Parts: sequence; structure tokens; C-alpha cells
Amino acid sequence: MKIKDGFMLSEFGDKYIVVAVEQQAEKHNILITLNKTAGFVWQLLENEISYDDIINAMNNKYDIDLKTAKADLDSFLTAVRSKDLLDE
Amino acid sequence: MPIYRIADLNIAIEPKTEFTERYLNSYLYRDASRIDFSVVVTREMIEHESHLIPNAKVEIYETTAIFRKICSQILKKYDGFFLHSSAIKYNGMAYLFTAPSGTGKSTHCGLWRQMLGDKVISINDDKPIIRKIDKQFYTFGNPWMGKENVGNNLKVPTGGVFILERSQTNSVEKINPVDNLSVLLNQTSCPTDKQSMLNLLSLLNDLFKAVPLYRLKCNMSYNAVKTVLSVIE
Repeated sequence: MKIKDGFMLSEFGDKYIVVAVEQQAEKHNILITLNKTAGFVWQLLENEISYDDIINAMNNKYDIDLKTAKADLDSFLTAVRSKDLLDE
Repeated sequence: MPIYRIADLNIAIEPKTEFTERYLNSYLYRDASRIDFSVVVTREMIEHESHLIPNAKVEIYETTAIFRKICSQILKKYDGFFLHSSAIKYNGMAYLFTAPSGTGKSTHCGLWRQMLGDKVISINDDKPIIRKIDKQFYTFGNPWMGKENVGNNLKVPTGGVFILERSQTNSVEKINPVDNLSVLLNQTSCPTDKQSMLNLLSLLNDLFKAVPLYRLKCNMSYNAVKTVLSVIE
């Protein structure tokens, strides 16, 4: 899976925000905020990556158990799918 | 080409109509020794304006095209943007009240002038320009002052930004800029090209590291002004 082209992640204050640029800006007025973990996952998804590889990267970076990592990732994926940001 | 000094920049503009000439006149800069950039208005730009702002008087399109071009250039190269807001100078600092049209920003700033007389001066009642210069954020007057032409040719360090909402009672609270970014982006021009968008977000991020953002819920009484004074004095 990979985030679609045309969405840009930018640090803002203590979080990240996502905005639509170039052609996507003409179709969406998208703007979502992400916390640090979600921002980390987003950056992984800027290149093609599998679900399991994301889980592994999260385990390496954060001291969390598998169940929590999966729950966080699933909730993140639900949010980006609902805004049609993901290529699968 | 005549040169106009706007937001500390020397801009060469050739007004095609007397209307535009009069509109820009108080910012004419006769002693300019250099030009920062030029603005040339084409027919395509005028047509673009007529699509963006249908039903306006035709004479206005040249001025809106010039403003759009100036702001686009300032965002690309000169660390600045405009905020649809009413900006006043009080105690040496600029305070901006932003909200969608019709909410009451001009009315609120009018109360300041009524209540505090010449302790308050209007910088720009419609679209002040904010620029980061030497790490400081300044709020500038400019010729685009809204329907009542309220404003002055000033450069004032920025002291605070207030998102204004109508309410029965008056209250003010400091808020997190990242949670209110949509509201702020709706009151400026959101660029579609990536670099300009990055610039805008970076400027907003830096602005609110230096300057507080508040939510002001207010009615049309002097207490609304006192409520703001309680956080800025």
C-alpha cells in the first residue's frame, strides 16, 4: 500500500498536518492532523510498503506490544481510507 | 512604470485605469532607487478575476488581479501572506481579528476606536499582509482595505491573532494553532503549488511560535474589547 500522490505531510507545532497539493488540491480541500505516531506511519507509506513491514517498523521505533501497534495502525488506515488517500 | 511601496517591497505596477491609479495612489513611492518585482496585468488575469468574483463592478478586477499577483509573489519569495482580518495597532503592537465575512470583525474593531479613541489606529480592515522580516512578524497596511477603505500605511510588529466568533457572552481563550489550521487557511489564499504551500505552512508555524492565537467569542458591547484587553495588557 502507498499514500496517493499529491498529499503533503508537514510538521506543525507538536503534530503533523496533511494538505492536498497540485492536482489533488483541485479535487479535495483536505486537511487532517496526525500525531507523532501517525506521522511516522504516513512517512513509511510514502513508499510502497506492506502492512506487516509497517508493524515491524513501529515495533522497532516504539516500545509497544503487537496488539497496540495493530490497533493504532488499523485506526490510522481506516482514517486515510475514508478520505481516499490510499493506493492499495 | 510607477513604483509602489507595499509591505516593505518596491513593486512596479502600471495601472491601466484611473480607478486603479487612485486605488493605489497613497502607496506611490517616488524616491525608489530599486525595484523588488513588477506586476503586469494581462487580459487572462482579468478574466480569471471575473470568474472568481462574478457580479462585481468591472473596474475592480484590475485591482484584485494585482493583489492576487502581489500576494502570490510575496508568498513565493518574501516570506509573507495576507490574512482576511481586521487589524488594529494598540500599544505599539498589531492585533488581528479574523473570521469569515459578516461575522463582525470590522464592527469589533470599530468598538475599539470608539472606546479607546486615538490609542487605537486601524492598520487594515480587510486583508492586511503579514511578513516575516529578520525573524519578526510584521503586519502591514496596504491599498486593499475593504469596502469602507479603513486602514493606514503602517508596519507594526504582530502581537496576537484572534479567531472571532459571535456569542451572547464574551470570552477569550488561547488555542492550539494546529487544531485551528483549517479556519486560518480559509482566511488566506491556499496555494496549489507545493513550494508555496510549504512556505505558507512554515510561516504559520513560525508565526504561532512567536505570537499567540486566541478564540474570541464576543457580542457587540465594550465588554468584548475589555475581554481582549484582559489577555493582552
